[in-house]
Amino acid sequence: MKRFIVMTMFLLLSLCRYPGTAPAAGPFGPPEPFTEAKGGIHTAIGYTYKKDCYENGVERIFTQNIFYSELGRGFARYFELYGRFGIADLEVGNVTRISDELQTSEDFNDNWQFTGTLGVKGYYPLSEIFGVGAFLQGTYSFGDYRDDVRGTFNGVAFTSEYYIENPWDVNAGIALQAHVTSGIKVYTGAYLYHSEAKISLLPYIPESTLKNETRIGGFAGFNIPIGRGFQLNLESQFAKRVSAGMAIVLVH
Amino acid sequence: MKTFFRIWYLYFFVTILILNAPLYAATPHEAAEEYVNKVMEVLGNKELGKEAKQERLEQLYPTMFAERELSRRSLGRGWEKLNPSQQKEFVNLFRQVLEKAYIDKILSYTDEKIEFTGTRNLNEDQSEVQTRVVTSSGRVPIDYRMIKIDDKWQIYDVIIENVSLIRNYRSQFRSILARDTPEELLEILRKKVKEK
Amino acid sequence: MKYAVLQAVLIAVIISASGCAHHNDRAAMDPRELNSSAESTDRVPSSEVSGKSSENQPVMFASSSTIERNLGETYKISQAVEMKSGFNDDDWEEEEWEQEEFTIADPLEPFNRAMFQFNDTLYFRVLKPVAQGYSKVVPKPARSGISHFFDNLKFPIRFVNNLLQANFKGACSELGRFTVNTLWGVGGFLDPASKKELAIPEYDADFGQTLGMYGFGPGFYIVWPGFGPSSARDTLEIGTNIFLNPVSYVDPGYISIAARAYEIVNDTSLRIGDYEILKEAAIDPYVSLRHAYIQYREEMIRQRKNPPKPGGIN
Repeated sequence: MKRFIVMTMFLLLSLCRYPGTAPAAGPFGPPEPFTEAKGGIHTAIGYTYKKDCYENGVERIFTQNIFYSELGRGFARYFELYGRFGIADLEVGNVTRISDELQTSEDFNDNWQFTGTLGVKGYYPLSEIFGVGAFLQGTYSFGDYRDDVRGTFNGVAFTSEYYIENPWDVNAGIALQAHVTSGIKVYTGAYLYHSEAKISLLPYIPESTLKNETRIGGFAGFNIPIGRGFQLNLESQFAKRVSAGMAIVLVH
Repeated sequence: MKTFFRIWYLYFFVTILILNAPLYAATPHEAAEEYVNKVMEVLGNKELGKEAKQERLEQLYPTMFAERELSRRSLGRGWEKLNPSQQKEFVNLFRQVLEKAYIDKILSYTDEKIEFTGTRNLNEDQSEVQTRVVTSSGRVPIDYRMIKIDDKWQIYDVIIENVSLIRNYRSQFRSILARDTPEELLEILRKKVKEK
Repeated sequence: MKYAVLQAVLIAVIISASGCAHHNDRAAMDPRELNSSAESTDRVPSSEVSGKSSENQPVMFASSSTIERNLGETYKISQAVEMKSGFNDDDWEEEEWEQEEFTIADPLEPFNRAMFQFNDTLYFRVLKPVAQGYSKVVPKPARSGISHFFDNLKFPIRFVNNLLQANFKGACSELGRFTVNTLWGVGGFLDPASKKELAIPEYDADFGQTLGMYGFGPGFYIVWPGFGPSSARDTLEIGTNIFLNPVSYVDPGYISIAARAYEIVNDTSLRIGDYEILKEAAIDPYVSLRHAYIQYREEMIRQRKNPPKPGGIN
């Protein structure tokens, strides 16, 4: 067990060495599941402001606002499966200069599409106060984002439809949690992730795959009971780009 | 040794108190709760088969319900049209009608929960124990009217969503007795009990 | 909607009869118990109670032998006092604290009995087999979730009628339930508003009730094919319910109708056996249902006009 803590600490420390990391996905939540027992259910509504750097020759910054509804079920003590269903918009900045020949004169913007998230988390209490947990979480956008963008190719102006299809990501991480006073939980951890999206700007960019620039991130957050069974979860995934999320959780 | 006896006495005393507690169901609420628990015990007993459970519930019925009160009030003014032996038969038949109608549903009990929400004292001998049943699809207020007979609280009416069981039967018996004789009413009940 | 009311009555009859399940909340109950006994003395002054009862029934329930002796007297008194005829000829109540019994005229009885028979056949031949098949395919938690979902959608009916009844507390409560159940109940499939920590009470309200509150009597009893028991007044409710139910606005229309039909099948699947029991328990099912319907409706309206009784819900 000691080794586990040391490893956790090492991972957390190692985050400081990689200032260039970029975050992804929605909030992971505290490592201790919301549902307390087998068969328990929790629901939540949440909002996430998400920024991620994708790279395929040129770095692109994806910004999304995600509103979601979450349903989680405990399958054993300290073991929970959860799903989210939500809507997300998409803005892609920093795409204006794609190559020497190809330039666009505006950012990509598109409205709400449906997204879904599935996650699983397990927790191991070390003492009454501290505990560690691990999670795996994946998100998939059901919709194709599209936007008519204007630009120039070899100096000739054009208007074409920019496609970004089904962005998705997978995250796996570990976290350390502390119960502080009056039911508040504080947690921090590190995660590995992979995210991908297909893009095309025909005929100038054939369909190609964008991938995330970095593979590791750190996150921290806290969870506060706000009465009547509700809990407020605030979390930030941090690096060069910062994402933040909040959720109001109700344990049934 | 002395301490031992003292403890032993104490234990003995406490045991008697516990054992006797249900016999002195002091308040209507306690009595109602006891009845509910007894029924639950039978229903939750996994060793009993369907028939055995049914048999036990049938034994419980006369202890829980003030049968005669229930019958008398269900007939209302019609009660006095029946002679004593007819009244006796009516009590008996009416019990069988109720048992027959409800036993399957009771035995198929699954996930309902009963919450006791209050007691309303009607007068010295009568009281209304208010409960609500929580089912997967909602909650239903159910009040038990209890009457004290021989120092024992028994149920004589069940009021569900403001509909009284005995009043409901009274409306039916009234419409039957308006055209039929008491003997014909008993015949209807006999047929009802016999039919499968 | 009528069906829902009816079914609520039916399910209640059954559950109570079963008298089953656990109890809890004892601690929570005790203060209320004190409360309610205090309030009941407000409603019925104890001196009056003891006075009257000692006058009419000195030792009424002291033992079974005295019961019989005293019964005769009681009945003579009640008969002397009440010499009414028609539907009210049985105002027989020996307890002065009893609520008056509600009655309804039934001039259409032959038609109503025919419609009752029609609905009975419809239930056994069509609705029940379909609902039974459906419940074999869809597990119970899913079905009760769907039932919650449709109920949640009917929020506008309850909200508007609570407002029309000037029941602002009820309107707020229903708004709260709708918000919580929509956001945290995964669109209304779950019912977190009813759980213990929140316990936002339900204030079911409909247009027939609203009319009743403003003094409209039920008129006469009528059984509608497909809809079940109703009254002249409550028939008006069918229209407003269509108007205020979001499902009615689903386009195209046949999907809306299909959704309604599905809701009925789903609700029925959760209540298979209830109607059978009512029929089995009743000596005259038609009269039993008529009585239950009018008691349920009118008592609900009476409670809305006056503050609810202690310890009860709604």
